[in-house]
Amino acid sequence: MKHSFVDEYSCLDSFVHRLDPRTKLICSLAFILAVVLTPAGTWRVFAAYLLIILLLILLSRLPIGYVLKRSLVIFPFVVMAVVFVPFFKQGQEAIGFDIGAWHIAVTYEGLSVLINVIIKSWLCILCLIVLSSSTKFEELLHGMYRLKVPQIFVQITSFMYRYMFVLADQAMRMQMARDSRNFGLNRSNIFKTMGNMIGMLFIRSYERAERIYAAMLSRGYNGDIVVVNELKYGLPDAYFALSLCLLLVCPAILWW
Amino acid sequence: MTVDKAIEIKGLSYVYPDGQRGLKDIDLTVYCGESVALIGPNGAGKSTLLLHLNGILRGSTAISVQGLQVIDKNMREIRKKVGMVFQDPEDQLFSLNVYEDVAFGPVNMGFTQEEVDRRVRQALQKVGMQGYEKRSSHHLSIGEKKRVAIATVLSLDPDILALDEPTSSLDPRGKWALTELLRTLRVTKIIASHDLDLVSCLCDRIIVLDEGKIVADGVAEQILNDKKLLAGHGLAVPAAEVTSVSVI
Repeated sequence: MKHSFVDEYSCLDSFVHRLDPRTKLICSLAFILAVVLTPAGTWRVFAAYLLIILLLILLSRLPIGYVLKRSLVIFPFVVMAVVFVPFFKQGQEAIGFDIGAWHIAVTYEGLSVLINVIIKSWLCILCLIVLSSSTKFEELLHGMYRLKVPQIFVQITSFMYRYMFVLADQAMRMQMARDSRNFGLNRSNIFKTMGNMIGMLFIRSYERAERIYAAMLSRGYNGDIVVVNELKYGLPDAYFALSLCLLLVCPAILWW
Repeated sequence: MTVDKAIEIKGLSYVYPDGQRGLKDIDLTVYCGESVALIGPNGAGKSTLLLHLNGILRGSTAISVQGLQVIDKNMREIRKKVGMVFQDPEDQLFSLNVYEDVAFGPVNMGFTQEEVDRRVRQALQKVGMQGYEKRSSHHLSIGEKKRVAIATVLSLDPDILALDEPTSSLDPRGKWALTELLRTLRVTKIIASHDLDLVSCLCDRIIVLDEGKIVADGVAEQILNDKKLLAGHGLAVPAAEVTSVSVI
């Protein structure tokens, strides 16, 4: 089965795609840092940052619908994390109602926190989508490696990407096997079956990990993964990084 | 004359970590240039025996590869000499693209960039997979994966090739293509398999393994014609059924 869920569109050719992965990693980090450090309620700064991201999407020729659709993925997580904040934050009441002896109130301060968190995380995820869709995963790893990210972390990420597909296939096959034996007819067994499947998947992955390690040892692995491809850091990278940082700093100075 | 012996095993026993008996008193000598088949039913210990050849598993006794003892000090040399191809290419191809996988061994051995490039090119050429360098492994077909998996050890220029079920999950065409490919590789081969077609095409010597013991060791033709032996170890259709099939 074929999958391509992380770096779809990374094979396009554009100015952004051609940049050195290190430039893109550092710029993304700078962008996320700027977004996170911006104080709550400075809407004009957020708007400026959104414009920067849209500009990058245009520059990288990614289909904007695709990027927006992908970015929706984080909303359930964010909402889960902060949905109760408006109820608990102290402040001026926006809506309040009584259930028996309880008084439940939504405050303006709480709502503002909620909206700020949603905007910030949305901006960050947009940035990460542009990064991952404009850079091949291998290049991203090379970039991390050259930026002296701890080896163990780079290796784990590499294995995650390589075996995500194998694991997804395995899970799909198990699901098919389960469905073809009429899973779901007996409601009480659902959780037991699910538990078994997850356990089985874990054991299979564990055993596979041992076999992979044996295969690595057989080819002289001694703890270091040596990356051979050299990356080129050029003038466009410097221009890009410099102008992006300027773009990030300007709205902050103007409107903070 | 130790040089002529590619592999020498004397009295090897191995017990799995869970206490199950893996191998019992294996005595085996493989000479340079031989193509030896290790056949036996599932769970006979074929893969376990292969994993001893390059020191991934260590049993009770010393094994020597081309006169070199399989001990920590020699491990680097041993792993360069013995190319191990695992059954599931998905385990063998752990890098993000074909080039990196084939280059993994040579890079670990500390060759220069030019030498690595040369070896990758040669290895891919030997298995007929030139031009696949930039492809990602998970998008290859199973036959292509098997070829690349073989290339990943050929890039180390091994003297001995140990293959675990090379033809499993291949269709007949893929199987024959792979058999032809293996025939062109002029190295000592040890092939664990229960695919008797492959074995009869490639190997001149057969070792039958069952329940961790060597139960037969001889010339390929002789063992393949010994229907009683093969049937007795679950490697062929039992004799009674052969006659009933032929009646139909």
